[in-house]
Amino acid sequence: MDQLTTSLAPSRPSPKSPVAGTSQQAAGSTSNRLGNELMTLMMSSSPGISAFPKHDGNLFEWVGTIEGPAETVYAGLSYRISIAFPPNYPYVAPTIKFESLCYHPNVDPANGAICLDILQDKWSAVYSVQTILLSLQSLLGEPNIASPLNADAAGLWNTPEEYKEQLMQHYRPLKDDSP
Amino acid sequence: MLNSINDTTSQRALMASELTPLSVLREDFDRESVFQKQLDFLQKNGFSSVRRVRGDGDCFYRSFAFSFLEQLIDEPDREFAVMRRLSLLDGFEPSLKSAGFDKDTYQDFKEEFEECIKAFAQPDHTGRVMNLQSLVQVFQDEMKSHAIVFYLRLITSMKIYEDQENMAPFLMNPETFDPMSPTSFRRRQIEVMGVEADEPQIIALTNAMKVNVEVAYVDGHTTSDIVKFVRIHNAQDENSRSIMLLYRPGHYDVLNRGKP
Repeated sequence: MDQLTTSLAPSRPSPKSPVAGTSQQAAGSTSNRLGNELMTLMMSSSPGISAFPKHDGNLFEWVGTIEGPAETVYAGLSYRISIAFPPNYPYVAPTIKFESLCYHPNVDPANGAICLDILQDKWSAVYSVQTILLSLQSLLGEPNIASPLNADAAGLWNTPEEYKEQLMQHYRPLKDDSP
Repeated sequence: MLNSINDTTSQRALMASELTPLSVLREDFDRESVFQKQLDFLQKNGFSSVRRVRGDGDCFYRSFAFSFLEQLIDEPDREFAVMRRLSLLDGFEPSLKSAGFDKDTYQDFKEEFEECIKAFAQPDHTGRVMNLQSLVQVFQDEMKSHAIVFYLRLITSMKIYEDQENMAPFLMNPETFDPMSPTSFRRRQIEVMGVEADEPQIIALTNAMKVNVEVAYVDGHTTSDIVKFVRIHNAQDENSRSIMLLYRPGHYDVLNRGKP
């Protein structure tokens, strides 16, 4: 095992055998947690948000849908997102992207990446898929203009009529397939 | 200085299998430096070694948790000691709720900690109870180790919430020293893995867990080569042993007396 060398020795990767065992157990307890989160999400009736595993038998890749909050410029619009969980979730945040084209100051128009603090350095294991979806839903109506990934959208935010026009030009309604 | 510590610890296992004698640890520092003299002072005063913990920002919580559990090994009445610790955790339930944590959000983490405590009294499927070696293995298992650390983070956050009137003046951003509200301090400085603990977190956690903690500050700052010990006393029992930690700038490890 780790022989505890001084700083003069080069750092080495951890020994192989316990690591292999660990990652399997890790996947096991993460699966349990994801199963529980799925149940919670299905039992709760949070309007306008939903998410499910993409394929049967793989709890680590989900797709979700977010409806724009009422009384915002996004009201009535729906967006698809993808959620990929790392093997050490919930200690590390999942990776979330918009799969639908989403015209928004904090969404990268090139790849759907999202700038939201709780998905980066402010991530905490107290959060869940549900809290993420709710945060994303409110982000739609309340963008953070100070750190835009889409500068055009950020620039138009204070002129709602022009913003709405651009928003609708970029919007592609979801087809009726799952979820 | 900070970098050299981080470089040597960030790639390690979460918890070292073997103890590092202070005589080996001193090789990390410049000859004749205050650090070396401080480590020599510790050796002269009966301390022999540290159990190294990875320098990933969770080292205070991980060292604390390990030492808290390691003490169970020497308990003359293990059953009783285990029961006492389990009831301590159950006693947190109302406070966790008041602090805004749903049982759903922390149950997994709590269970992992409870399982670990119970294993000191209840034999596993092979008929063995927890010993030092199996405890180290638990702490080397990323998911178990992180679950225990995160549970202690939630207890810390809960305690800051409970004592926020007294704590508020001491809560600040560690980089800018700007004051932080209890709510944002809890969210940003406690409930996020990898964010280091400062004094408010240490006081809150040891207070909640009702244990005595002594931190030996090998910080290179003193001019007299002695090591300053910061003692936080919370245990009601006079004979309660302290959790001993060694602090070097930016890092905590478990400090041990006796033979390495």
